[in-house]
Amino acid sequence: MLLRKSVFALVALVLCLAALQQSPGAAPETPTAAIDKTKTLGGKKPAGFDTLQMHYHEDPDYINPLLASDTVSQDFFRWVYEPLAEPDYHNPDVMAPRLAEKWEFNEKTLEYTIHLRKGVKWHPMKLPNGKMLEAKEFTARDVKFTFDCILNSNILAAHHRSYYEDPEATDASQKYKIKVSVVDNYTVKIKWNKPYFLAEMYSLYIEMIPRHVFSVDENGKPISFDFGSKEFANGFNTHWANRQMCGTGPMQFKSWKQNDRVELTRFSDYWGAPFYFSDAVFRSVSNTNTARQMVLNNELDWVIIPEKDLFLELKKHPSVTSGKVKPNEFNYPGFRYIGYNQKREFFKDRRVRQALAHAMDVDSLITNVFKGLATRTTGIALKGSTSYDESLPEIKFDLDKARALLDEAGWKDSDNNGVRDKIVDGQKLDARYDLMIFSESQAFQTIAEHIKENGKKVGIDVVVSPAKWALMLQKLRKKEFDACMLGWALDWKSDPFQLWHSSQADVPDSSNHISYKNPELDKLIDELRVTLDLKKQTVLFHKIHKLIYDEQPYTFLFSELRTAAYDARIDEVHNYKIRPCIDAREWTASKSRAMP
Amino acid sequence: MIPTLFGVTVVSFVVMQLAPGDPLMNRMGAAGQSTQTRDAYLIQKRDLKLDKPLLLNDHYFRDHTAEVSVAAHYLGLTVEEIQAELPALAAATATGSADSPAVKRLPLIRSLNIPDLDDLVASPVKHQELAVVLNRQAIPVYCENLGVHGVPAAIGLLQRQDAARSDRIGAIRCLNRMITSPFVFTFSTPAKPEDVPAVVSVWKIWWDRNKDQFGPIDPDRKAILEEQLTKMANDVDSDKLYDQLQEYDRDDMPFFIDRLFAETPSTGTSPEAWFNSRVVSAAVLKLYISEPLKIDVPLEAGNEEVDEVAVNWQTWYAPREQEFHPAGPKRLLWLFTDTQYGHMVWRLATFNFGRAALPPREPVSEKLWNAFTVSGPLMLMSQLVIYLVAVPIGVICAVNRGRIIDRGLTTVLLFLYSVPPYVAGMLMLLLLCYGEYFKLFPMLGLHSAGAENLPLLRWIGDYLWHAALPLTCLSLFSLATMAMYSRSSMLDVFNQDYIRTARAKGVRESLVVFKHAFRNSLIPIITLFANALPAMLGGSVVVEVMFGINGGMGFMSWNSIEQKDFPTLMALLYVDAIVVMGSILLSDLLYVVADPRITFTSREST
Repeated sequence: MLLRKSVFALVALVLCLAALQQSPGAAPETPTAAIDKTKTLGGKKPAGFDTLQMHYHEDPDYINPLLASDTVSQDFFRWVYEPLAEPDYHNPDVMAPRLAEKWEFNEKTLEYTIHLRKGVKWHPMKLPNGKMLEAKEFTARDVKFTFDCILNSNILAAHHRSYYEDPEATDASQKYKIKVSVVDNYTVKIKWNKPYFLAEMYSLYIEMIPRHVFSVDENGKPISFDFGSKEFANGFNTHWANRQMCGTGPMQFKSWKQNDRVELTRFSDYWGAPFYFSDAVFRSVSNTNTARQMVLNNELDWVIIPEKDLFLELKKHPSVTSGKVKPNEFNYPGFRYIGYNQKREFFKDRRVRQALAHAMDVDSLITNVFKGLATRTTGIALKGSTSYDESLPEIKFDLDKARALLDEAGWKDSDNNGVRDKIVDGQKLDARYDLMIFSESQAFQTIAEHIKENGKKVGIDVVVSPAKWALMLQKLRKKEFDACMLGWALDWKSDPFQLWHSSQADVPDSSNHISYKNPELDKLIDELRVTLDLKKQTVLFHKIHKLIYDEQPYTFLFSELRTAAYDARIDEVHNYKIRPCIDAREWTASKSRAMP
Repeated sequence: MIPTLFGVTVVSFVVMQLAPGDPLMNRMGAAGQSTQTRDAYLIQKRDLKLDKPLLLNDHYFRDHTAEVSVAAHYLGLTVEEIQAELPALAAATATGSADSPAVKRLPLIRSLNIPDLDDLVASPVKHQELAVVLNRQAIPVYCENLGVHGVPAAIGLLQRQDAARSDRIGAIRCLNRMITSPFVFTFSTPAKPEDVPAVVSVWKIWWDRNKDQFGPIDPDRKAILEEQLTKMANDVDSDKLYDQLQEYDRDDMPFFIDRLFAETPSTGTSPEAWFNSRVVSAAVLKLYISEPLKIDVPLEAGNEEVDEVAVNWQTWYAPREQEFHPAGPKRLLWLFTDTQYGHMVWRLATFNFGRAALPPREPVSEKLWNAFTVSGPLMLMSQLVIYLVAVPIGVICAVNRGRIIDRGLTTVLLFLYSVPPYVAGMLMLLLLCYGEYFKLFPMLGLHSAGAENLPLLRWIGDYLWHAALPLTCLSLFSLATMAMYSRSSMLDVFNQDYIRTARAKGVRESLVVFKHAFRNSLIPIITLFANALPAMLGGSVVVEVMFGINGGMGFMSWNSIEQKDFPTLMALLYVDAIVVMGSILLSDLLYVVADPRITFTSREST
């Protein structure tokens, strides 16, 4: 069936889609230390009055954690909404408790029993008619409500729902893999109907939303008594609070002036370590040049600068050389690749694909096109995570090797026209393919030209065809392409099923858009998906990595570094391997900034 | 005017259909797995009417029984079973014998556009692949596309007691793909009396099947429940109800069933309280019985289970049968109106543009208005600047034709004409805003923070200060064009006989220029004015992005095109078309003001 549930998201250079916040782990129980509410995570006392000035590009659609699927809104609600637990930034294999105090997993019944933290307060919230909602404590009802909403198929939360959908379900009542039930006010049970290696993450790493807010309309009246109904979904999708926030986190929502700014302020009743800054303002700046200038003028505290040339220029700016502003570059989980459509005769031979990998000078691309702001990668897992096999060497740029492999595969230039050919099923085929790239990126054009040039040297004719995003999607979907240059965003641990399992190969909308089929790989993936033991998972991940490395259905290029700049007044800026790769909860400031 | 508008809708509709992709694909396509599920895709597709035929909907004239029974056949079998019968299909195709049942299935299979179908049928090794494609992809998608139009056929198949069990299971699965969430189990909010039959009927079926599981309720418990229900019924508008509803036990259900089914108020209760108690009872029931009626069955389901689900579907279908079999004239009407184009034209004609296709799915009219309030004033001011600056420049040039002032101004205009707005904008930002050289203007937005608290005059000042550079940037190019137009049309007029006559009469030069020449030279300028109003709707992506003016028309239209937001785009084009026609009319009227020779009244015979 046409069900999709990938933890990957395809990214084109400028279009970074759905960055999902999930990452896994397997700590059965973590003891909670006594919480010191007087010190921030950075170890300092919270500032009396200081505003953190952040930046965002463009208004998100919603700031409701269930509905929003963009990265922008996540930046806002990261400090406002809290999940039951989240991957520890320092060790993403382990889940760090947030709203859950601890949890147990019963391997026989596949049931998580989650014990919630007591005394957690929801942020105070006002109805649109001005009436204050009663202050509420976070309870198991809210957990159940959150899952009810996710599993209501009329609610626009399909990007969450897809993780719980069972593509092999035999009938509608088996559609979702989980059942959530309330035991008492502080205990919830989540039962999975089959083992799944990412079950813990999907049981715990979900931002909780308040039932008392999202179940009532703007006059405080109930929307519907059936949270699974279409009526409730319509009310939820257009809910008044979708443009406000009400969570349990260290910061609470103050205002959102559309197209201008989002303001947060410290929540005095927070259960955990407080935020250092008393306020945070996100300013909408659509022109990256202007945003860059604002951080150089010390008007913003933190700015992501995606354009590499702008970043390099910034590094030479007097504000940076004098130490007023600091540059920051860090690995961002994801990779870019060339995928080869396996339905095309030319790409069916493994040796051809290996030859194509050898004919690619990735190192020079990194130095020349990306100015060193990218790192090489050899496989589908996140580099630096346990699922990535570091022992596999990068494929070397070697045109002779490429030629030899093509010869071996039977592709020879019989008519001396500079392009190799081969007789397949009585027909002479030329070694020619179309490389589809996203048309709005200069960097992609340069890479494609590079591929074309090296292709020519080994006797392969590469035709570069730039396409708009919509056209590109249509061609991928109909498999009307030979090769394509794309990227995937990664999680600490990503399920390889959607990208590599052969059951996904012929599904029109699947992420296995190259139609790759390999029974051996299928077996490994199937095994991995039901393996709950971390060590065994790692072994399987490495096997999968090795197999794909040997087969080279993709030519793996690199993962780009993310480049940013921040005001030197900010201390304790550290980079992490999982998204968003920074944790502002631990930031402190040496100099305070007044509200502008 | 109406034919023109009609033409605009046709052309834009055709262009949109030709462009690759639709609003859902960008969220669904190869990239969108993680943001979509099949259900969500279907729900949105049906909501946007993208499942309807483009121009003609002949579904109401066709009987889909044959196709749907083939579809049901393939959905009711396992992949292995389909694989086992494919050799028969292959043999029948090869020999072309017409009487085998396999051949009757072929037309539908052929209509599904399965790639390399002949190859898949012919080679036995690929039969498994074909079976998977049929069972998991092609047939379900066929049912989804058929949607409501296939329902009567599927229900018909389900009702046939002689149909094979697997076919009936298949029919149920077809229905599940054609209709999403058919039943309602609770009253809508606010509850309406017309909800009663739908809600009560589903619970009646459930109760008939399950009443044996429940024992009688203890009288003491009943008294407590009665008291609580009365309290809740008085409080049906309060969110406290959510918590109160949770206080019960599965064993209490017969009580609520009893109250839900109560046809008349018991003595001493007001009709309102009685109705509310039914509403609350349904809510309690749904809370404890999460799936009262099954709408799907597993493949291995026995006859009994299939019968049960069949009854559920029939219960849903019976009251709606008329909707699926419209009367003759209605059918003819729907042939043209129940199409993508028909729905679109209806939305436009009634000015009820519906909701945008992109999240957050706000109403289109609201979306357009919000964007207009951002960029409309800016564009209007820029048009004013263009006219107020360009026309005098043109006049000055024309009056001083060939002199140094004319040459100088013309050179400057030519220079302005050749600088693209994004270069001009970037230079202005760098030189005047960033503070690397000067910091005279703000670099972002149209208002300072907290501007809404300023007194009106200061607020206007603040706005103008922010708008100055974007305005300049927007105006430069057209300003140069307009000035050159006005110069040349002025020169044209200067060469006319009546100007010479006026001068010969000894009329003062200023009077010649302003009374005789200027008024007449306005005609071409007024013609261009027809573009000014529509330009207000346009906005400019470049200027908006560069100067951080978020939420303007330029960016919104660009985004709608990029993401194929059909409802927004159509509404925008439509409003644009109306404004264009309005402004053509307006410039026609202005001709009369500028040139007394032009008149709309019929001339008196001389």
